[in-house]
Amino acid sequence: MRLACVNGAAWLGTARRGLGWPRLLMLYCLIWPPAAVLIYLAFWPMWCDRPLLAMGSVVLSLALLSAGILLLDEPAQHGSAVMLLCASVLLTAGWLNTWHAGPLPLISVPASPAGTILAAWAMFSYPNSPLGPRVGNWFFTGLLAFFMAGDAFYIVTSRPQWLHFPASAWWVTLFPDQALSAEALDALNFAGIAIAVAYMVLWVARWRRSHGIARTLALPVAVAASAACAVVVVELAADAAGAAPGVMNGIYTFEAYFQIGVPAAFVVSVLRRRFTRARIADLVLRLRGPGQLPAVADALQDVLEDPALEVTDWEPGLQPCDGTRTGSCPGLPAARLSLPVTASSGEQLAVIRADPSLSANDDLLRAAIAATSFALENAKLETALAEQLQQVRESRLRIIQVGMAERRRIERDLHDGIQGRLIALDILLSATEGDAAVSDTGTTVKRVRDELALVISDLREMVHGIHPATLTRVGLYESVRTLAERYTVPIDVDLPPGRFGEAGELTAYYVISESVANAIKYAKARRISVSGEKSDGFLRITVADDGCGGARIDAGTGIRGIFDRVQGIGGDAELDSQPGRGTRVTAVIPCA
Amino acid sequence: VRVGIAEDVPLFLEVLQMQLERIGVEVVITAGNGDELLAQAARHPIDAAILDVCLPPTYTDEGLRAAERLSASHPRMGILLLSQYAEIAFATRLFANGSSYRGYLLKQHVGNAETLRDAVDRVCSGESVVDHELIGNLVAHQRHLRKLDRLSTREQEILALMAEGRSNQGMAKAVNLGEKAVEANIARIYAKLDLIQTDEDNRRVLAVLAWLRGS
Repeated sequence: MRLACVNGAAWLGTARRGLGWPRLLMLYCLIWPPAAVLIYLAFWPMWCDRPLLAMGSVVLSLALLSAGILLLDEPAQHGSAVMLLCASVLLTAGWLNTWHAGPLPLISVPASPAGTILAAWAMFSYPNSPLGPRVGNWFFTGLLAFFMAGDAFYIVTSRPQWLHFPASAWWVTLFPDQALSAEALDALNFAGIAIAVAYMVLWVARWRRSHGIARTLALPVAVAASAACAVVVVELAADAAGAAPGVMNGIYTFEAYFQIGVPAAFVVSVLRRRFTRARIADLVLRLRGPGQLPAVADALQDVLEDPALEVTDWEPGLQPCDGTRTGSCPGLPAARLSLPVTASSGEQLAVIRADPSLSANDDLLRAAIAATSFALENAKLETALAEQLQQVRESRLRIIQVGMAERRRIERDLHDGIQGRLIALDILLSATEGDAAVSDTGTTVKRVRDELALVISDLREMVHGIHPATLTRVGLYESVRTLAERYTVPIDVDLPPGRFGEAGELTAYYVISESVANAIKYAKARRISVSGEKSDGFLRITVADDGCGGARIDAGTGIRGIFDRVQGIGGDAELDSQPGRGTRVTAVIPCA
Repeated sequence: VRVGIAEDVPLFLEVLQMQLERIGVEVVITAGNGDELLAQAARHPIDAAILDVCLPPTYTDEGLRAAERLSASHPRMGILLLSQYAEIAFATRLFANGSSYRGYLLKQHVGNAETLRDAVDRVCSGESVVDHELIGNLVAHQRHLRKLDRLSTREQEILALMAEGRSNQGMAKAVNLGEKAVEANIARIYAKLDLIQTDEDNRRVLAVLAWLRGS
């Protein structure tokens, strides 16, 4: 047996679609009325003497026709559909002998067994042949050939009058021999009985072997097939035993009505299948929220009637295998299918391990995989979104905290440094004012002026720390150069000239001033380089030093602040700081 | 009078020292923080300690905590807290364990020799001091809320003086009334504002402050 493992994606890609409801309805409107009229007319002579049988036969033919059309809409059931349609036509043709004229009696002889065999074939290959399509084809084609040959032999050895047809009816009599033709008829009947019994046994065996959803879906057809076989056996046996025409009529009538069960079974089966598909589609709604894989597995077990079904995380290197045709996959215990669940992005989300018998219902599997993919992708997106939201919240909180700490620092600088000194100066002056006679007025004024100069210088320094005034006036390059000149450590500045928008420049300046301060304060750098380049609306800033390295984002040295500021305006930052090998901070900042 | 100072801004320390010496107060200790003042006060006896509220290392309420420790070990030492913040909460915290010998003064009023002398004298003699600007603000606030409408102008004046921590005698001097008249005013204020009468001047400041703050 050949192992057929196909590429999962390709297999999933070949989604077959039905006709769709509007086109199906149109097909019914188009075929049904003329077919109904034709079938009604075909039974015209019968309506007069055996209306009950005529009624049953008309209904059976129309029911087969309807089931055939319905089946056309099912994925991969075109063969069965066409066979049912043909069976409808042939079984109708089988009763044309009631016309007793022209070629009609001749046509009816082979049409009846051919119709029955095609109906049996349709049932057997629904939803797929258990013996594989080729074996089924050979078997039923052989069967058909055998009966056609038998009927042909019967015709060439008989005369129409022996079958109670008028002598004027078309017939192909080559070597008439009444005894021989009667024996041929008996032989055909007995062969029919044997084959019907064998067919029934086959169905029972098939039924016993099947399980899960396949069994549920095949149940109506299996029951109808077995029952129909039983009736055919009775009919053939009665015919062979030479039952009276009245008895045969009764059997034919009963058979016609009874076999309406066959098309009905197809309809039930198709509806049952659609119901299952709808339930799978429903999973998408049921499987919302987190906690996915077990929930998905539970739901699929339930819907696909496979209690051993598993849904597991994707394992790299896994070979997808749908087990089509073979019903088993290599390397898997107990011959399980291994179906990849893929996100719309192509990412592998999970693997469904299912019973091989499910491969017969690949439309259901496809739906199940799609629903699972939806649910898992949804959950994944939700989780990712929640994580991102959490990060944004944390970063926002840190930005606020940094802002508050900054305000505290400014307040302290103003309050303790500058306000306190100004108050002292005020007191000093008021004291001098109090007694103008004091001899050292000049000294006091000198003192106050010196102090004021210091206060002004401190104030300027402080204001620069809040927002470097030079940044808005002379741009990033000049501001960073001025910054570099304030330090004794040599700093190489290689930044593009020009302006990059207020937010971009301020963020870049912040990154540079913080990184430089860190390099000097913590890394004890002896040389620092600041470089930058602009491309595609982004300013890429790099600050590298030859210090001790080993800086970490969460070590409270302001690097977290750099990341937050940069990410806060939609950029990103990177820290490379191996111990002993210097530190490199890279920030990509969106800019105007 | 001998005082010790704890102040971290060197210029202010220098100016304060100069100012104190101008009003005849001897500065025997100058410290940059509370611990230093405490350590020195153990060796050099002082009548009063003048502390900045915000001192290193935390710059939050170091001065206040040093003051609490000082008054615990020296109950009769005058404590004068200086602050740049017009923050009445510091005063209520200072008075939480009794208001005698304690005062709270805004830094910008140190330049006024009269105010400084008055404050030092009062804390040294066991009275309380609350910066009159703070009280002025509170009274104005309550007046705005129309809660002082029941009091006469004189009574409002007396209420503010009580909140500043003045004794009956001090009040009498400030408003040019006899002590009996001041006492009568105080009794009427207590009745009108539903304050619980207490003979202790000590508790009186806190109660009046609490009322003025609306709690």
